[in-house]
Amino acid sequence: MGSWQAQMGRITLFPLLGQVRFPLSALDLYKAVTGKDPDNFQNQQPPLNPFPNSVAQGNMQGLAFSCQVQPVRVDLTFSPGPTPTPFSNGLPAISDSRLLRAALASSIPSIEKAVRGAKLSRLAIYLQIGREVATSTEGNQFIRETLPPTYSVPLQDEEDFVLQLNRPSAAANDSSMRLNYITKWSVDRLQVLTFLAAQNSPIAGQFTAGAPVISNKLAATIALDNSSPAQNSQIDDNQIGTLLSLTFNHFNKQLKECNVSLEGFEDASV
Amino acid sequence: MPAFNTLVRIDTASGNSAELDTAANSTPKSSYAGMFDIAVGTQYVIYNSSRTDQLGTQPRGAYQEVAQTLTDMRDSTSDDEQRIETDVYNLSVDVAAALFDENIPAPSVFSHGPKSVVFNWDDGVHNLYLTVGRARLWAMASTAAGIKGQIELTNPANHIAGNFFKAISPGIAGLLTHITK
Repeated sequence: MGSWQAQMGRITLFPLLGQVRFPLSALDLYKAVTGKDPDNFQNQQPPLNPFPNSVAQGNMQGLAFSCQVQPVRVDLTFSPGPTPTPFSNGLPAISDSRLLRAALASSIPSIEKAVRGAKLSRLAIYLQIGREVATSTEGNQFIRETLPPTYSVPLQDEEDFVLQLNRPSAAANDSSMRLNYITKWSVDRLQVLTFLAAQNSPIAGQFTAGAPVISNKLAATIALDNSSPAQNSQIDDNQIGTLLSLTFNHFNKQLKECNVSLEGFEDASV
Repeated sequence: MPAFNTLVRIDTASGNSAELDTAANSTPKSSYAGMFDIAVGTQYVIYNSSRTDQLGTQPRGAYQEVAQTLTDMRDSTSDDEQRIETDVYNLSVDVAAALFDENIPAPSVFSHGPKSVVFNWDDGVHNLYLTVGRARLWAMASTAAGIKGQIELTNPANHIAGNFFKAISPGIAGLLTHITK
């Protein structure tokens, strides 16, 4: 059922708590990164989220791009662009991973500039790749092929496999800072819910057209979750771009260790 | 042989008991959680696994009550004993959002005068209290026999970040251990 494909890339900023509110709305951040207005902006609290939350969404470099500002984290997420038909059968995937690589790389300097003075305590960058499988046995086989020999697991037909490794190392620019380099392998069961909104829905996201179409999927997934450590002090504004670049560049090494070739990420560096 | 669930976690940096475990260092709420769109006619992907630490098991309804209680406290009239100051409200919302983000069960909420809010968990034996002030945060554990430990989770500059997140990332049981060790 296909090959490994990029599914999502994300940059996350963690503000210090107890000081000032994160100064940018999702709209501000979206504009700072893309240089244009979003297609959708929602500043009200969503029905299922108990806490303040603003979301701006649109397209950037052929990908869906969303900024979400919440009290404890700010997520900038690149995901597959709109599908030709809303009920397409496949698992959502970014068909050209070079676009994702370019979008993440080009966002870093924009983010660094936009969040100056925002008092951040932690930064993270995340890349998820996956491939749809028919059975857990097939998913386990793909996972086995990507596990470094040191961590080989004799998987067969087990379900819900998860293996997560952190191989932290000192930051190149600051030997006292230990950066987290996490790789997580899993075989995930998913439900894909497809909604259609009423034509006259006054607010984006207010779905009124009845029950969603549900399909069940099984996917082998590898997630690379790199971050600076949770610390008590503010990250120097001049370090934000450097830390994001260091953690971004490490994707290349992690993918090589998994024996996965992802176009654009072979020699990623910013 | 029947299929069984497998969960393995390895942290190559472990060996020091003070080190965080791998789970505490990870940052995503869940795989696939970011793949959503508020636009018309697009796909939503929701995690659906037998694991219980993923999106979808978070006690949203209970946290909506927490958020509403905090709002009511802020909006109370000045002579109401439940009223809290705006700075206390803002920090309480941040702390509650962090607890929600870590999938920690929703606490009971009490005011303690206008300058603090108390979050409380009671398992029948232990009582755990998080006291949120204008810019500071304390945790305390007690049993019927008395106070078992207390700790401030704010750093000298009144920042609430690393210490707090390290304390709550293992969950309530981990926080209890952290306070009482």
